[in-house]
Amino acid sequence: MNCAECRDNLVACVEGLLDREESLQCQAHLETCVACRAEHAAITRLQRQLVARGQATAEVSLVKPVMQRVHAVQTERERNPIMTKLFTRWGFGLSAAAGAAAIILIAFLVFPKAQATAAEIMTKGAQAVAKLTSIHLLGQLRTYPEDNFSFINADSPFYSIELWKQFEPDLKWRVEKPQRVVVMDGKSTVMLIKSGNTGVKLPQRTTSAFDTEWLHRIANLSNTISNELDNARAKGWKLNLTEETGTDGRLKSVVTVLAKSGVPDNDYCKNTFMENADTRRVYRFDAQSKLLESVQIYLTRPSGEVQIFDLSQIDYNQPIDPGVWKLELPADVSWAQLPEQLHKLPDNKKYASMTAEQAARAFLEACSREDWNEAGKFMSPITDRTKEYLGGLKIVSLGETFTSKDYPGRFVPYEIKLRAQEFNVRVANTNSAKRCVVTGMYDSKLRLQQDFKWSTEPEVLTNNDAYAKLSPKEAVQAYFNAQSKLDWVEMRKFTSESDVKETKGQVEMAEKQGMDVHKLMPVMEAGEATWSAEQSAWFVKCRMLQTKKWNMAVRKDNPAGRWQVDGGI
Amino acid sequence: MANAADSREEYPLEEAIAALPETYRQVILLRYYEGLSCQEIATRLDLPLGTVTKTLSRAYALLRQELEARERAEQTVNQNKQP
Repeated sequence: MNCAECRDNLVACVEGLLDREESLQCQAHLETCVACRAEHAAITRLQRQLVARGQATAEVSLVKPVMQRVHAVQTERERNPIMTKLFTRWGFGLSAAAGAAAIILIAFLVFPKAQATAAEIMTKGAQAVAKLTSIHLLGQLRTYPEDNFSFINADSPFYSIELWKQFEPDLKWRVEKPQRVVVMDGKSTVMLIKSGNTGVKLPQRTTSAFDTEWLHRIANLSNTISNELDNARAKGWKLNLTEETGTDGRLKSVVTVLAKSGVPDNDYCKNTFMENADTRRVYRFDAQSKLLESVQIYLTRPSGEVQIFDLSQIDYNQPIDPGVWKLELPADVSWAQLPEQLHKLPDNKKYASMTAEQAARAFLEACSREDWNEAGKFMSPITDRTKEYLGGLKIVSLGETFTSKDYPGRFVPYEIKLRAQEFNVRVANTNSAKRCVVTGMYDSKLRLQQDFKWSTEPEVLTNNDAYAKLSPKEAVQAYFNAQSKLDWVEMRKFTSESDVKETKGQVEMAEKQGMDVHKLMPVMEAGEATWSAEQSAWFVKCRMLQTKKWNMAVRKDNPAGRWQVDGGI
Repeated sequence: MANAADSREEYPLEEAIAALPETYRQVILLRYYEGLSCQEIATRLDLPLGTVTKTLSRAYALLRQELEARERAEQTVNQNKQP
């Protein structure tokens, strides 16, 4: 055997794949050739290293990702989301080196080289915060102060939002925004709605409540970061890494994720805006400690980017003042009915054995009969507004229930017809165009609801005559029809610019929340018109028939074990 | 750039593997990180056994080159750090 033949066979020899004859020949050559012996030694050394590293990561299975990759390369197909599952399964609980080595390998396997470093920064950032005793987040969010904690609206001003969370020795948390505070002191969960001094109490320890899920999800930073990476990989989102010097003079690694929209229809966050749109998320890590220091989320809109979330301060493992877990309640606080009182009712067994769908149906049927005592067993409090809105409804259909993300309850798709609501529209043609236009809205008892301000006189249209011929009733019907077709130009022929703007704004908002606006637009019927000499205008009696199709959120993680309506109605 | 250098020191072999061309990387991963024998790799990838050993052989050579290059770069960095 010569050198060339020996080199060709070296690996097979080391692997014990040569037959006896070849193996002996190879051994013989090695004994006589220094160069080939050195080569053999180098290969065995490398092999030992590889075996050692391979064993260190033995608890991590690479065969699937590798085969996946093989498959992807062979068929030039896109990467499969199975990678996401594998990655999640491994988590970051793997004993230090093994997990890290494997994860870094995977990061390199899956991302193009340039993106791998950003992925690595995130991986290490997730590892750095895998075990926390407490966390404190302070930031601001574009939302409504009057809403619970999950609503995001790019057109709203920023409001502060803060979360304190103690993981050890026992779980406690507090979430606060200007008009609402929720405190979970380890025993019970209380929300104070500052306007109206209303208290809502869940008599148990909760991991989240009152739409704080989203914040708790973020607070689980290790997961948040690794999920982001999983999604980026599964969906091919772009990662970008830059470095900069922070205000503290330390080096920061800034990872930018360009997230594309698209979430499953049954996703709980579908109505929280953010997962419905393209966003740019900026994560700033301290280069040395690897700790995440801030997060900024920007929404991509045709008109440009709008920042919607700014998490500016993150405190890790700092002792939290015990006063944080005490909620100061005003003396005149009024309490919403406590779900724990429900299980004392003699009929509890019947309610506790219901399925989510049965409970949703029973609740809607009670509303339909206007049996508010019965409806109150599923939702509390039942306000006058609820009564007016849901009273006399008709159930069209209930769909198959589903669960979503980490929401602890279930969702029941429903379609209902709300009771026809009567109202009056005031129209006048005392304008130079001599057309009937809408000048105000009145309720069924002719109480003024909205006075339409016309900043300029109605325009004289090119085909003005056709419009001038319309009777008050016809004009109102045409106004409604244009509105339901979302035809803003046509609608403007009958109403003021501010009315068009307002309607358009509401429609856009509903669309952002994932609603099918075309299907949801109420059906309006214009009826008889009455002349009012006093107002020099007609009052057209109208009816609104509204169908609502949405998902009712119900949960039964209360001591009575009964389904309670939590939202979506 | 402290953190980037750190990671290189921690996982030089993994980084070198990651830098291999696809074909070579896959046999290394299957052989050592999945503990498959050459014959098993051949079956799985539907290749003749000889091709697997030749690929592995070439992968070793490339890995060694890569590791040596990294080591040299490391030394240069360290030398530059000295006053």
